[in-house]
Amino acid sequence: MPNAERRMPNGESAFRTPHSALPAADLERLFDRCTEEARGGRDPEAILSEHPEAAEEIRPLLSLAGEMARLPAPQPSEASLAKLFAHLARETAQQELRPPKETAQPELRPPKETAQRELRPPAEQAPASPSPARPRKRFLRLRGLGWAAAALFVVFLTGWSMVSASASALPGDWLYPIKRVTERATYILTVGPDHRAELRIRFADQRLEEAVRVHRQGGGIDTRLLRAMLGEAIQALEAADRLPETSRNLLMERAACSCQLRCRMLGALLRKASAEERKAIQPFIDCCDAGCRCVDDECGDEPAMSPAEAAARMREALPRTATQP
Amino acid sequence: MVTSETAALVEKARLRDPEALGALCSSFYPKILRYMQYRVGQRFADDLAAEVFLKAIRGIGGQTGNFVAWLYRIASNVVADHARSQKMRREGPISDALTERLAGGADPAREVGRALDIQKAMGHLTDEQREMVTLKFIEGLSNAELAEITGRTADAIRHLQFRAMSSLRRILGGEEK
Repeated sequence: MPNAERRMPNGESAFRTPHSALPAADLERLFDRCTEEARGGRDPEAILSEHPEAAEEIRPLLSLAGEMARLPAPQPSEASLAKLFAHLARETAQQELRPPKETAQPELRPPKETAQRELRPPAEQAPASPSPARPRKRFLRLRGLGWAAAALFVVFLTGWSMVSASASALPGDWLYPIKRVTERATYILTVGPDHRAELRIRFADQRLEEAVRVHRQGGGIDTRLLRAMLGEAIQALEAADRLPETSRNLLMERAACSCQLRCRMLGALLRKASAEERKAIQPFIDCCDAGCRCVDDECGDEPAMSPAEAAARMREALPRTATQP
Repeated sequence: MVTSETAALVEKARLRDPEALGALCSSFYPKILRYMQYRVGQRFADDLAAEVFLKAIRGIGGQTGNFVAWLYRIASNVVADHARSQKMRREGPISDALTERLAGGADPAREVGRALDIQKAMGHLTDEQREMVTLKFIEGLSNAELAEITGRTADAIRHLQFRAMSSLRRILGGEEK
């Protein structure tokens, strides 16, 4: 166990190692300097050569520091990811019920000090675990968190730039799961049902764009992406049905524009596709057309439907199988 | 440590932009999870890491200065609270998951053995020393960031890190004998 810290009246450490002739404060500075040099990719031996009397003491510490920097990263588990999403969902649900709150910087406090606990803002005193069961259950039901955990492990190793770079990733790219984790976290953190519904429309557009790029790169027609696109569009309509009238109308206008754009893009894809690929695309175009007719009251002969009816109509038209051509 | 990309993201996140918040979570969650695993062990790490993000999301509107230091300071406070509530038992090394993950490594036995030795030895450090070692040598933060997180002076940081590493070396040396 380490010794208690001893200090001289001037604040310098009185600790002196048995091997070194240098006072502890000088050793500490030297070790710190060497650590920084090593981090900068330079050879700390150059510094140690100036202080041969301390080299014996510092060298093993540097070696240990190097080993620690290379310690393997524990992989975030599916369970930990599910817990994170559940916590975030609960927080977002609570935010929807309360006005935004500005909190101060987290205070500096020594670990053993208890008196300051009472001074902390109420938000920080909230207990961690008691929670409404619904969001937790919902996210614990999520399947396929394994890939998400793996994706976060990748972020772990590579840092923020990978999250940024993942924005343009396609299925099959090693960055693609990171993109989807970020999307999921974004969705969970979005406050307000209207914004969430809008986000679903964006995700639908995103999936279509990915399908088009995959095809352009010679990857064929990825029907899973097209199904995901329609799935998001349908869920956006279902969410729109629960909105107040003004928000619902705005969202339906947005859904109508997006739907028309999707139909046009799928049409363009169809023209470039092979005969076999066309067979795969056509059901999605039909479903998209059905959606367009339902959400756009200026289009088609039928009277405008409610968003829920439009979603149900699209669900009926959704291709049942997702076979890859 | 805080790149211009992160800074731009934090700026948006302060305005509660969900996309920026989501990206920050994706980016920093694994790091905070690792910090927690070294500080409190595997059993509590998931919950405490998630709690850090809750507090960060609640407080980001008022966040100023170095975001990384701010985030780790929240994490440090969460650990302190946890220590008080649990009387922090020294849990065993982060072990099982690590052992499994390393099983496919180049020299798994050696890597796992050494990593476990270091983690076990860290369990014998004082809480302050373990925090210092985790932040500085595992998370790779700078002394300036450490000062911001822990509120210690540069001299105190140099002293604590040297003592912590010396202790760790001594403990590891004892185990090797």
